[in-house]
Parts: sequence; structure tokens; C-alpha cells
Amino acid sequence: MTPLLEVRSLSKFYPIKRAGRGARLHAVDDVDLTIGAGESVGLVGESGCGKSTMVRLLGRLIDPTAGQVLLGGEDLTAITQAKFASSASRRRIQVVFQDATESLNPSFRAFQAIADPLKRLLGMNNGAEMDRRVLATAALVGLPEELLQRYPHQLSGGQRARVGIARAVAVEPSLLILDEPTSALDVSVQAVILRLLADLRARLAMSYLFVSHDLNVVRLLCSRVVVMYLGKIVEIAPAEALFTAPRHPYAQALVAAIPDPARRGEARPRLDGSPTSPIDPDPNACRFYGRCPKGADICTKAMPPLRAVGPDHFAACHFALSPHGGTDER
Amino acid sequence: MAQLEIDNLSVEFRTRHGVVRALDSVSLSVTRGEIVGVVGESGSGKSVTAYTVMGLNDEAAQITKGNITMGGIDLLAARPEAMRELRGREMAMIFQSPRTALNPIRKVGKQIEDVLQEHAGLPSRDLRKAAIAALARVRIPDPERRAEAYPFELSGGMCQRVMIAMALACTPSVLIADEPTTGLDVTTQAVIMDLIRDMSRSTRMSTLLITHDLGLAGEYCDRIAVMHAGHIVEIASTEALLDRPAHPYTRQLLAATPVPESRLDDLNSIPGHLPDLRGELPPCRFSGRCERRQPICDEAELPWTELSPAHVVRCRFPLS
Amino acid sequence: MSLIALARNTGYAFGENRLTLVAVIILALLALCAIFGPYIAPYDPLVTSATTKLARPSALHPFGTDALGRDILSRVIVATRLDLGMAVSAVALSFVLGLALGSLAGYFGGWTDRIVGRAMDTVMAFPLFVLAMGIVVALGNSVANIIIATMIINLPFYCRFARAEVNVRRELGYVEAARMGGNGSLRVLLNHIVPNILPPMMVQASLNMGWAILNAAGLSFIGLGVRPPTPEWGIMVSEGASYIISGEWWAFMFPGAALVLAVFSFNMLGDGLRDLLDPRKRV
Repeated sequence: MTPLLEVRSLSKFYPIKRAGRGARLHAVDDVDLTIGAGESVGLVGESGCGKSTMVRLLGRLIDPTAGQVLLGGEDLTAITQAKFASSASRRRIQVVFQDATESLNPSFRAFQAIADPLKRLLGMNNGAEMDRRVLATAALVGLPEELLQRYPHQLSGGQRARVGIARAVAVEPSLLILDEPTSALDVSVQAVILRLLADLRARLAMSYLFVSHDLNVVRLLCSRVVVMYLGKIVEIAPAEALFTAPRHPYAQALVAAIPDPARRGEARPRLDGSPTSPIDPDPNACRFYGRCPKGADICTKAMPPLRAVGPDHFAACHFALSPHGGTDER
Repeated sequence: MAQLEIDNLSVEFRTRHGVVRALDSVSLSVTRGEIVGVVGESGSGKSVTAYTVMGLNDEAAQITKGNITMGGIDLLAARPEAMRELRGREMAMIFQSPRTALNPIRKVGKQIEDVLQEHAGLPSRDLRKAAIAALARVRIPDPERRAEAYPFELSGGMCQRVMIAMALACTPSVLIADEPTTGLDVTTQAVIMDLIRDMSRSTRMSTLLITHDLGLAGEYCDRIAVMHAGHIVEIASTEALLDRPAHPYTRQLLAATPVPESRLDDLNSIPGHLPDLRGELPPCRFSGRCERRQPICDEAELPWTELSPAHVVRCRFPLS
Repeated sequence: MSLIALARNTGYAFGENRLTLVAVIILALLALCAIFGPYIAPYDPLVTSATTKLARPSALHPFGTDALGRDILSRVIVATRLDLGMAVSAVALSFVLGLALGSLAGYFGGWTDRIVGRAMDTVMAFPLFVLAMGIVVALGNSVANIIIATMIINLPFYCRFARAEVNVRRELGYVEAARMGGNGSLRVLLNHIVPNILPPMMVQASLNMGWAILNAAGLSFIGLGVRPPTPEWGIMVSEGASYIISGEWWAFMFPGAALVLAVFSFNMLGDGLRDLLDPRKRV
């Protein structure tokens, strides 16, 4: 079965002027990924790992330096992002943005915000059909009709989240990318929105790419998780497997860092320091070397490839193959 | 004996749209070497509490009743000059968004030296060494070189360490950490929180950790105070709060906080919304959202119920 | 925004800010003078009279008369049309052109930004008033040329402002959402970004209006642009200035006061406008 989304050797390099001739920042470096129809995949990693760039690449807001993005077999990267805005496939991938980044236009009422993509992508023209569709989408996300005439500053955090979701799902995309959709919300509201997202996915038969720094939330919503570090994927695993038995040392550190009241007072091994530079990194060395609690000569000689370490479980580490590779946190 | 004692504190803000009763009868104490978490959602009043203790409130704020004492000193009665002296020397605060809380045009080493010069009274020739020592204490690698860096050259986690170094430079007896790790990666958060905990213990500092993350408080705090709409609704030891929450809000908050074992269907959300702090408020500000509400909750004065010496709850019908 | 909501918001903004209300009233009066000047002026502003030269303010001539016996009150009223007209035209042209250039430069960056930036830098390299003088001298003395000159020297102000405002908003979530929603670059700029920068720009325009009035009056003051006997505040101040020493203060004072009043009112209006147009403050 063809996966819904196929990412092949995707790279995004940014030229850096100061650090010498032809220096490039490797934001995303040779990434392969597939997302099946109806699947919910999480994407995690620290700031600077490339997940925001991935969101923009997959959302076709920027063009890759190399590689392809295929949606249902169709190569989306065959045309530039500027032309993509007017292509028929634009509606098939949508993004729900973080509320904190001012994701709603302050001078648009909620109704207009939801209607705009309908006008542009589905050619609806302010008629009864469009009104019906907006109202239906609002009902779908649990947004009461009377709130549609409000401006964003007149809405609560949870209501704004719903408008952002409505705007994205109004055109019924196949793939929905969610960039920290609940991180600006209070925990009392978060659960409702998360359940709404789970519900919508089933109802509208969408796939999700869920980007978040909150690993507990990712675990709730995603069946598979991808861990990125300095532009590369270091581990892909089913959600439970990642959280109970991560194989890549970085993923292990990440999971160990999740605050856990049950482990109060315990001194746990911590990942200190900062990532190495993403500018022209050595293509033959593991990016995590130096900061990694493990390390051997081979780590500086060969970039570890993403290899299967279990059912549907892949890790890019020279030490990951042996079942008892390194300290297991759990 | 409590190092920091907040007793029956009420704070109001006069705004164009009315008087906001931000805090009402807040009481809390922290002993030496203790880490107390103040947990609440947005609008709960946790930051206002922190700022009131430090004397950093907006001009529109008015303390309508209550006391704050630190080591016996009455902070509310202190003159501004006295407060300025205390801040930095006896009590310190670290903020959210470390890069924006530091002076962007001054090297970090110099910023620590400023604190030392102002409050520790060190002679000028010793300042630089003391600043480097402060950076080393917070485990910043290569402190001599880092002291010459500007905040924008450092990562978020590094900046937060600098802020902690500044805060602890004069070994204060009280530390208030206002959302110190929000916005930091989870790996960095763990390192920073470990650091705060270790420094708290080693210098026997009374620490108030303000956070919206109940999981974080659960791991690092000895006791937790839960706030809702300007009220403290429950204070208990961490184990007691997490295992036997007595206030309905606490229980709902716990049920809404995702932890590693959570499942989506079990996750709670809390119905209703915060009451408007400007209008008429019932004695219990949670009653509008509480499923255990009774008519008397909206009429009579809200009592403090002591379930055990270390576990108090502000509710008429606490959960058993 | 519906008319009712607009009226409600206006009332709210004015209730908050008495000074704005005063400013609006004054500007309304000035607008009246501009529109109906010739009809409400008590005397013909051009008629001279040797007998009533430099008469003190009196019941007959509330603002006195000038060196040629013309009634100053009438001249001040009639001059309103010219002064306000020149300023409004210049500001309107500057605003639209500056908004267009600045937005394009701020959104697209690259060569567009460089070319527009260099053009504006060239304008700003000159002391602006001197540049205006140069333009009027080069193009010829006329009202149209004063407007053009004032427009050119004000252009960088709007351009930079628009550019900065667009730049700040370019990376925000709702702009990316607009692109995801199928809006092409120009549509994103026009429909999604510009409506958000209009409020601050209109505040700037109002504040700038005062400067534009002074500019136009200043050019006439030094003899460029408007020629006597056309009544215009700048010329009147210039003519009246020579009589200060001899104690006939009314010749320059009243047109000067009109200038001050107009500039002040526009400045006050700027603040009020900001409150009115900001969507965040809408009820």
C-alpha cells in the first residue's frame, strides 16, 4: 500500500555568509520518512534539531535544497513553493500553528479566518455554500456559532486553538501537520483539544504529523514517534517502544528527562552541554558524538545509518544493535 | 521556623476596567532548605505572589491586607531602599525567558560582577574572580571564556544558568524561581532543575518554585501549594498532594496533567473557566466549576481545613 | 466593521480621551473653513483698502487688517482650504506610495528592498526642507509643485514605516497560514498584512500631517510656491513678520495661531485614531 506521505533524502541547507566560503547550515540533512494513511506520527527533538524546518518543508512553505516530498505518489517538490500555493494539491496538506506565534490574523474575525482557505483553495465565493461549510466546520471543532463574529483577542486560548484547527481542516486535507498546537494552552483545556484532534483524525480520515516538545502529549496522540537531532533522524519507533525502551542515546536522555514525580529525589544521568554546530558538520561522524555518554572511534569515522533494531523500530547509532546497548533508563 | 512567611496576603490591581482582586488571603511558608512549589494555571495569581514578595509589583498593585516576613523582617513595611538591599543579597529571583531577562548589551561576567559589587561589597579586584567562581558553581564549562560572552551568544539553557549564578552570587536565604524552565528543552530543563535543587540543598536556601507544570513540581518540590483564581486551595507534601488530593481542583488538575502512564480517554479537562476577578466573587472562587458545590459554598466564609499538620485545604467539602 | 460598531467605538475612544474630542472639533471647524471659506468669510480676502491699513483687532475686523488693508480674519479662513488642501494631498500621495513601496520592500526583500532602500536613502541624504525648496525651484512655482515636493520629502517616512511593520509580521503564524490557505504573495500582502499595518500607519499620517502643513507653509514663507495675493498662512506670517517690531502683532499672530492650531489638532488626532482603529480595542 502506498504510504500517504513519502519523504526521500530531504535536505535543507542555508548558506551562511560569515563562517567562510560556501559554508552552509544543515537544518535538515538527508531525511527519509513515511507516513501512512490515517497514521499519527510524532516528531520530537530539541530546539535546533530541524523539526520547525521539517514543518515548513512538508507544509511546502519553503523549497528543499535536495530531496523529494511525495504525497500519494505525487511529487510536490516538482514545483516551487510559490507555484504550489495555487496548485490543486495545496489543500491536501495543512498546518495548525502554535497560538503563541500569533497564528490568527488580528484583523480577521473567526468566520473570515475559516472562510479564507475555502475561498482560495476550493473556489467558494462568499455564497451560501461557503457559509454552510464554515458553520459545519465550526460545529465539527466545537466552536459555538456566536463566537464566529469575534476577533482573536476576544477569544480564549482554547477557542483560538479551535479556530486554528477549523481553518486547517475546513478544506479536508489528507495530512495535517500540527506544530505545538497545545503548548500555549492551560492543562485544563489541553485535554479537550487533544481529544478533539484524535476525534477529527478519525472522522476526516487524516494523517497527522504532530510536532511537540511535550513528550507526554506526543505519547498520548501518536502511534509512531520520530526523534531528530541536528537535522537528522536518530530514532523511529512505535510510541510505546520509544518511551519504554529507547535505543539511541539521545532518545534515552530525552525520555529520562521527562519530569516524573515517581522518581523524586533520584539522581539520574543527565544530558548536559549543547549540540555541536550545524554548520558544515562532518559527514563521516555521528552528530551526537562528544555529547553522547557513549563514544568510540567508529563514531568519528562513520555516520551511523538508521538501522532496524526491532519491529518497526529504527535507530542511528553504532551501539544500538545489541539489545543491551548502553544504560537503559527504564 | 519558616524563613519566608506569607500570611493572609491580599493584593488588588486598580485598572481602567475595574479593580482586579488578584490575590485573596494567600498564606504560605517556606522553611530553610525547603523547595515549595506554587502550581497554577494562567490567571491563578502565582506570579503576582512572587512579585509581591520581591516588592516588584506594578504601581497599580495595592496590598490590601496581610504580611510577608523573611527571616523575621517585615517585607511589606520595609522602605524601598531597604528592599533594594535585600533583593540580591537576602532574596533573589530568577525569571522565565532568561535571554530577555539579562541585559543584552552587557557581558554576562560583568552582570554577575554588578550583583556582587552591589550586594556583597567585594573589593573591585576580587570581583572578576568571584564572578568566574559563580559561573563555575552553576557548572558552566570554561567559565573564564564564557564570562566574556554576551547573552545572545549563549543558548537558552546557558543563559538560565547565568541568571541562577547571578541570583545565587550572594547566597541569598530565599530564592524565587518563576517558571524558570518554560521554553527550555526538556533535557535542559532537567539539568537546570537538578541544579536548582542541588544548590537549594547545599546552601539551605528556601526556594519557591512557580510553575504551571504539576509534573515538574512533583519531581522537584518537597511541598506543593495549588492556586486557583487568586486563592491557595491546597498545600501539602508532594506525596500527599499527588496521592491523596483533597481539593476538587487539585484532583481535576492532576487528572488533566499528562504523565507517562496517561491515556487520552482518561485525561481530564476542567469544565468552566476562571471567574472574572473584577466582579462579584463568591467566597470560593472555584465553586462555579465544582461538581461538589453546595449552596453554602456561595454564602459562607471559606474555611481552612487542616487534614493533618502539613496538609491544609481551603474547601468545605474536601475529598477524603 | 458595521456602522453601528464604528459609531460605538468612536464614542468609546472619545470618551476615553477628551483631548482627542477637542482636536476633532477643531479639525471639523477647520474643515468647514476649508470647504465653505469663501462663503463664510465676512470680507473679500483680496480687496485692499488704503484707509484701513494695519488696523487693530476690533469689532469690525476681529483679527485686524494687514498692510494692504485686507481683513485678516477673512484671509485666514479662506487660506484654510489651500493650506489643508496642500497638506492633505501631499500626505495622501505620500501615504499610498510609501505604503506600496515599503510593503513590497518589506515583504519581498532582496533586490526590491535594495532598490527602494537606496532610493529612500537618496531622498534622506538631503536636508529635507532644502530638498523641497530645490524641487519647487526646479519644477516651478505652483501649488501642484509644492504638493509634489512635500510628497517626495515625506515619502521615506512612510516607506520605512511600512517596511518595518511588514517585516515584523512577515514571519508570523497567520501569514504562513495565509500562504497555506492558497494565497499568493501579493494577496497575502494586501489582504492579510496591510490591514494590520494600516492603523499604525494612519497614526503616523496624522502626526505627519502637521509637519506637511508646516512644510507647505514654510515654502510659501520663503517665497516659493504660493504667490501673493493668494491668502495662505505661510505667506501671511511672512508678510506680518516685518511688523512685529513696530508693534502690529496681529498681522503674523493670527495666521501663525491658525498654523499652530491645525498642527496641534492633527497631532492629537493621531493618538485618538490609533485607539479607534486598533482591532484589539474593538468592542
